[in-house]
Amino acid sequence: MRGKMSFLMKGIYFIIILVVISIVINQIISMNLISVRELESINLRDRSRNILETLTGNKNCLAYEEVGSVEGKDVLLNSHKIIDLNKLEEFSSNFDELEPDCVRDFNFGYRVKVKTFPVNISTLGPETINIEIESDIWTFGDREFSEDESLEEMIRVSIPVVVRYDQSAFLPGMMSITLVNGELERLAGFIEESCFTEKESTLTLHLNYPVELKGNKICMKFKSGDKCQKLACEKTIEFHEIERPGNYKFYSRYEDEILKILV
Amino acid sequence: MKGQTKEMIEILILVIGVSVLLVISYSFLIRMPSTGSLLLEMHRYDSMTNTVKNFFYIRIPILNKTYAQMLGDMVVNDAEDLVDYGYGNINVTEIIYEYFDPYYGEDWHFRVFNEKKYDFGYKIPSNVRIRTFLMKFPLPSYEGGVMRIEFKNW
Repeated sequence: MRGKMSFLMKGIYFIIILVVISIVINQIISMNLISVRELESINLRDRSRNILETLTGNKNCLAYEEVGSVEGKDVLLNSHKIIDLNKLEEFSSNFDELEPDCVRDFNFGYRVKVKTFPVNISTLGPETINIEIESDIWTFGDREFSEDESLEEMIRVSIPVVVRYDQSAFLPGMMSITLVNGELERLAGFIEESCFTEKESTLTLHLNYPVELKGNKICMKFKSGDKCQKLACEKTIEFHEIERPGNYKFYSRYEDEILKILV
Repeated sequence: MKGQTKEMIEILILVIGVSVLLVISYSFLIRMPSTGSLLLEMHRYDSMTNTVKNFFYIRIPILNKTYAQMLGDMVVNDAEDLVDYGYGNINVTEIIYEYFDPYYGEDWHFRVFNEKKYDFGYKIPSNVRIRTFLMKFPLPSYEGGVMRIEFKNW
């Protein structure tokens, strides 16, 4: 009896220890998973900030270039986060469905929105002046993104900016970016990168939804309807429709002036 | 039986010890600010400093004055809210609220320190994280005077 009791008690304690060990292992695994997810999120946030900084600070993007004078010589100055209205107008018409050339991203998709705030100032006195300026909005970049299971992460980041209308009007505003990490963005980026480099490359990707090429747009067929991204590629693209979800390995090859995307 | 009881107590102490250690380390880890939230905080701080610095660049048409010039003129003239540029008085206080409100709603406070203090914005709460940005602000004077400004956001 003595021996039997001891065996039973030892068994119970053994199970308790096993439970404790499994909790510890579970905690360690979940902490690692959190840090991997956090790292991806940091990467996405970092990238969105880089894009905004490039857009506002690069003269080939939206930065207003000011001609200053230093010791009698003309010097070009890229001013502090001041956006040139003319460049903004140009971007919103030329890149309505595309990422701009000056800051193209082959891993993520994004859309940028610039909004000025309304100004309403009136003077008090015998002669009253009313200055009323309404809010303006410009957008550019990808129009549609991955959805449901194909969407890994989406992030929105904003920075304060100044929009230069003319010499006497510099208005306050906000520039926001929606950056998306998903299957459609990665596939579109792969095709665009292959188109620019004309080099053979590969991409392994899990697709949750069917994909097809419609003209110069790559489309993913969701339950809610097709979502397409325009490809910044003027070459003829050969891409066979993918009808079923699954893991795919894509190969790109540029042959006879045709960009072939093979599975 | 004595040996068995001793063994059981030892194992029990071991299990309780491990559990306590686990609970302590877990609660310590979740209290540590993650890298992600620190980066987010850095972004918010950066965004706040840019909002204040943009004061020097925003220029209103017709008046042809920057927000910084209007604020400086108000302080130099020792005025309460209004500055006169020859075509009526401009309410600088209203302009400051109109500028910061779209960015921060009612979550901001702006203070100018000169011979007297000027306060704009909303009541600073006591139980939240507050970001503060301090800078020297040039005054429109031949002596190169400066005043101190402090912007808070939460």
